[in-house]
Amino acid sequence: MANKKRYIKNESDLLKAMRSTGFCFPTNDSEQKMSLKLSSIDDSLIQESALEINPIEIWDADNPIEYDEVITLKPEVDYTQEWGIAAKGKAKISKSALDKILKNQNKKKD
Amino acid sequence: MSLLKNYRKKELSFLANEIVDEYDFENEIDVELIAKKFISFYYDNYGVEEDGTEFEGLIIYDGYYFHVHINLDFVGFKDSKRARFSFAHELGHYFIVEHHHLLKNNYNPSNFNPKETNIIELEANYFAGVFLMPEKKFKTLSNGVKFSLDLVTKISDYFNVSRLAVLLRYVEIGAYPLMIAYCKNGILEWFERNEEFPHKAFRTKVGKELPINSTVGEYFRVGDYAKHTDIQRIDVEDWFYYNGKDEVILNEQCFYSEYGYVISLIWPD
Repeated sequence: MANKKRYIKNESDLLKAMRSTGFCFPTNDSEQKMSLKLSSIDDSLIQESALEINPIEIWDADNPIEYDEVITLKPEVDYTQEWGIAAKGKAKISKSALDKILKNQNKKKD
Repeated sequence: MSLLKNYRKKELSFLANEIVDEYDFENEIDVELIAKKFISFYYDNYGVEEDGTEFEGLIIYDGYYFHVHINLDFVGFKDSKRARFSFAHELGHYFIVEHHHLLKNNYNPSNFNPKETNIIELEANYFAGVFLMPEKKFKTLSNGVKFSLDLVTKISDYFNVSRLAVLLRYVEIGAYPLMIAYCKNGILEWFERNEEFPHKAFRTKVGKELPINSTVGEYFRVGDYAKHTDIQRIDVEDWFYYNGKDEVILNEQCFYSEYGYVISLIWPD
């Protein structure tokens, strides 16, 4: 009988696994990538948001910087599969058009 | 050869006329005024894909509300004739009971074979034509007047709809004999003619080659050398079988689309 392969052999492996699965903060790129993959969050969304943050400005600030915007990262949902749609012209809506549609509809809700 | 059954056209006409009759519009139908009671609507530049495609207008049911979106990149500007028709078309999906229920039950054409969606779109188009050009007013403008392109333009301006939309409506309820043929790649794709149109025995069939001596048939055969943009006088036998003794002359006017199709109108003097 073949031996079952064990990935977690010691405390260090356990910590690495917890950092990769979202139970602890990731400490390097591979842990973060694995963590994002498991949570279905698009890595590009993180990269995009990260560009808007200036760590030097935060470090140098005399007082804590207030952030007035909360960015929620959600896995991409294909709304078109949940909606009822009838289209004149092309039936398949492009990503850019869909983004505008959502923006307009959400604006109306607010 | 209409793609919609007569009984269905009557149902759609009844529905559209009933909605519009609740209002008293001077000439053109105020689509937004009617729509805002029922749905949310948006005009925006939703773009055009590299291959030239994208939606022109669409209606969405998001589980709570209905939303109509009109793509200005296709229809030009907010109150353009094309925008108004697209809007009325989308309203048709809202008002036609069967479409309304389909949308509420997650109807989504991208999940289906495109051919299955055709009837839905045709019905909405038909609804839009009736909705924007109510029968009573249309007949007041057209009855007792000989068919001409000037008449078509006059009705088009009155209702603020395209001339093609007027022609399709005219062939339904106009009193003067008229036939419309939709042709592509030298083939007769479909045609409509009103009951008053006297010639029935075609020299071709839907899906077959156009008669070679018809103006439109000649255009597809010869090319731009035979691209006539004015009214052509043709012999009845250029399009139809005819056994009469007297010579019968018809008028044929072609409209050439940039998308490769040609619409040919035929009417007697």
